[in-house]
Amino acid sequence: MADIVWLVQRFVYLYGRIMGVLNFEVDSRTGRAKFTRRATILAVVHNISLIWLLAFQLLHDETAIWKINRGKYLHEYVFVLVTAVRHFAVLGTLVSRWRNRGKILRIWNLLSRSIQERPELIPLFSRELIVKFVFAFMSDCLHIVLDLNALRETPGPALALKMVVWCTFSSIFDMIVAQYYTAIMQVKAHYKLIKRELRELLRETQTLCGKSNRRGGVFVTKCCALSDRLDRIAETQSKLKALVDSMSEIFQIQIFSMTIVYYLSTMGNIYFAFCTLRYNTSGLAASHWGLLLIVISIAFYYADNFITIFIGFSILDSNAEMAKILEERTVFGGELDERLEASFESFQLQLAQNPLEFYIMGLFKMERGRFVSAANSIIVHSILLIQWEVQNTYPG
Amino acid sequence: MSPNTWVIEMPTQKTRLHPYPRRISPYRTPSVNRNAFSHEARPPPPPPPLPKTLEHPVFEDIRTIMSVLKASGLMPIYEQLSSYKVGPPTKTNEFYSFFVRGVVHALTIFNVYSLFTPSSAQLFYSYRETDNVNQWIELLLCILTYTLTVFVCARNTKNVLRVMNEILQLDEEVRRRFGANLSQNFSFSVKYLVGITACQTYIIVLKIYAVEGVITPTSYVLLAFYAVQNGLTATYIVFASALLRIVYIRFHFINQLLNGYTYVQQQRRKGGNRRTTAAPSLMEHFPEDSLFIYRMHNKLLRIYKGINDCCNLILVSFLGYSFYTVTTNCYNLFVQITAKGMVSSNILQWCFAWLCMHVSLLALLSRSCGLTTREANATSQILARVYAKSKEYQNIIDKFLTKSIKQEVQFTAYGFFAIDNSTLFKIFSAVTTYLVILIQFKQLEDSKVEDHVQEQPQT
Repeated sequence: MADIVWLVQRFVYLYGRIMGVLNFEVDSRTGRAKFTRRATILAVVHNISLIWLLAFQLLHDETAIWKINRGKYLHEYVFVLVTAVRHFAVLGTLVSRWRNRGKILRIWNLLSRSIQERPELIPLFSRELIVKFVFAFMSDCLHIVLDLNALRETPGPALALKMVVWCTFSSIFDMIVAQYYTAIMQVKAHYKLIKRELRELLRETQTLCGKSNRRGGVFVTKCCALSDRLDRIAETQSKLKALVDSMSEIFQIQIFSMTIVYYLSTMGNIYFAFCTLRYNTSGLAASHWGLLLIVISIAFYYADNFITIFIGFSILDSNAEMAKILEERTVFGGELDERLEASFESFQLQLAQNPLEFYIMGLFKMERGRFVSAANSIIVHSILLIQWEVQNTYPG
Repeated sequence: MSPNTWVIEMPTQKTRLHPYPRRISPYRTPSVNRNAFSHEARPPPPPPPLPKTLEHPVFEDIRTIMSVLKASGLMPIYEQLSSYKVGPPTKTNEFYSFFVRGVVHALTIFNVYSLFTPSSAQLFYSYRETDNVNQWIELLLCILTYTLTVFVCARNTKNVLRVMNEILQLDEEVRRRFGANLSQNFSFSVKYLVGITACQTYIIVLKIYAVEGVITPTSYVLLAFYAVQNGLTATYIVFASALLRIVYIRFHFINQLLNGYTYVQQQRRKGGNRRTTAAPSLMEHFPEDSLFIYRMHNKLLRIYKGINDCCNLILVSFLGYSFYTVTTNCYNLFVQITAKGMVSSNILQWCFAWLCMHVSLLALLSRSCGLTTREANATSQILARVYAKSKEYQNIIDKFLTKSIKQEVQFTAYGFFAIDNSTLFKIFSAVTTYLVILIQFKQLEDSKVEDHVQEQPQT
């Protein structure tokens, strides 16, 4: 399992370097990241070439529907809007990567070092990593197939250039999301580990409470040892929280871009699905196999989206679960050593006073309730688009 | 501390009438424990054997609804291991549940297949495109809800048994310690069951009368399955509400115990006022009783969370389906009332039946969740009113209050939204919004049809 995890991580790292998302090098033996001239120059050249290619493709493309006098249908404008937002999101994220390069490197090294120090973490996140890899890979591939079909142009250099730009932007976006997911997933594994340690500690404390001799030095020593362990757990939790907060700050543009792109893509997909069912008599959706391919592609895309969004929620759940585990303290029969009691109390107060929360650019808090509100908003806006379509197009 | 541990209460100055160490139950029931230093070492008489009907006081109250769920494969047909323990089903019963679920899934596939083929065309009315789309979405949501219910129930068999065992163990501890039997009248579950059955039968009869021509066997099968899907989903919701009521009763019990130690009650005790519903307790028993109460509270919170985990996805799906059904039926009512032609009484009755059923289910669910959540969160509020005379007692109280900071419990639908008394109001607000959207769609469609009719004579 550790080999598969290493292989997947190595593949993701190399793919990130090829896509120009990663602008530092990682040693395959030690897992340590560092700035090298080669990696920096490659990333700079890649990013500048990409921007230049995008500009060149937009300016010279005869079928570019962003030219206002060419676009006459609402679905064309929606498509342009979604594509433009996605491109801007990618460009904004790349800029943010260069600005926060040092901090990203420090986080990478921190997480890599913690995995090496505690290899028991690997089984705790290996399954999630493999599932994410499969979904992201399938989603990316199917997305490329559908894009090729949607363009419906004759093969040639212009089409090849367009496909290279579109696929690169799409892949960069997926890579950025995947890297954020990988980091959060490792934090979640740490949470699982400290929860396990906390449960064990509470079990030992419960056993200690049953002892009759509370005046001896052995009792006090044991309490002190437990107190030390508890303080270490509290410190680890505090460091994890600080790490999550700093990641939220560093990746805030990425997370915000991700949210906007998912929002607009979902709204656009509902609207395009309506248009496809209403108007499409040729193309992929006209045949059953084509329709099945579209459905599978959408399923993989949204499965990938859901696991990315829900991993954040699962960390919030883990944090809440720790507070629940500490509640067992109330049923300890006897009085413990003062220091141990103080450690328990301060850990509980630490969890209560510094709750783990995800804020997106300080604008709104990401939680499950917000997810439902966003889904509601998507449905309402899609309905508005569909209503406009029904009102302003002729039947048949 | 285990309840079986001997607690020696040394006589104080105030208890000179009772020089021997002893333990007094807060409910003034005779303690089943022997006095520690009593010379009359006569063993207490064994408690009389319980009659069979009282062996499972909790689940006896909801046995009708549980029988329905067991027969339909949504609940495991558990084995009675002892008075306060249930065990996993036998192989035969497990096979039966598996078989029933298999039949259900096969019928679901047949149902979905029929929807996409002309075999079910007899059952659909084609008023307008909007109405057809509404019916389709409603049917698909119904199928999804019931299928999800069956899947989740199959997956959570062990969890349900664990929750039931925890409730039974809790009851056993309460009975052993206080001699209290925490059962209550759950006749509401039977009333709801009767109501659901009557409603579904009425709806099917209306549908049969509304169909034109001879009804095919396929249509009968689809109608019957449609009734089963809706009926069993509704029954499961009533069962979940009943479980929550059971938990509410237990939370209320421990809150009453704790209330006996509050400052007001202690003052009344000192003042000799016996006209209190909960007898004020001796403060000297607070350390022991608080431990018991905290343990019970933690167990109840685990049971509460266990029930939430078992019902999570079912609640999300059911609330979505219920919301959509209420919206479309309000919309159909509006269409009927504002129709220029004759009003169809069949459709009016259909809409009213659905609205009654879903609104009452939503009200039951919201109320049960709200009651239980409020009672669970009330414990720390009551404890805050306990005046502790000594540092030891204050530490006991502080331990609980510290862990309760910002730890309000909520019954959620997979964490997406909390279900409590305000849920009904929120659903109706959302229904109003989507009703306006549907009405706009209808008016848009009507105007396009009128435009098309007007254009035709010109060509």
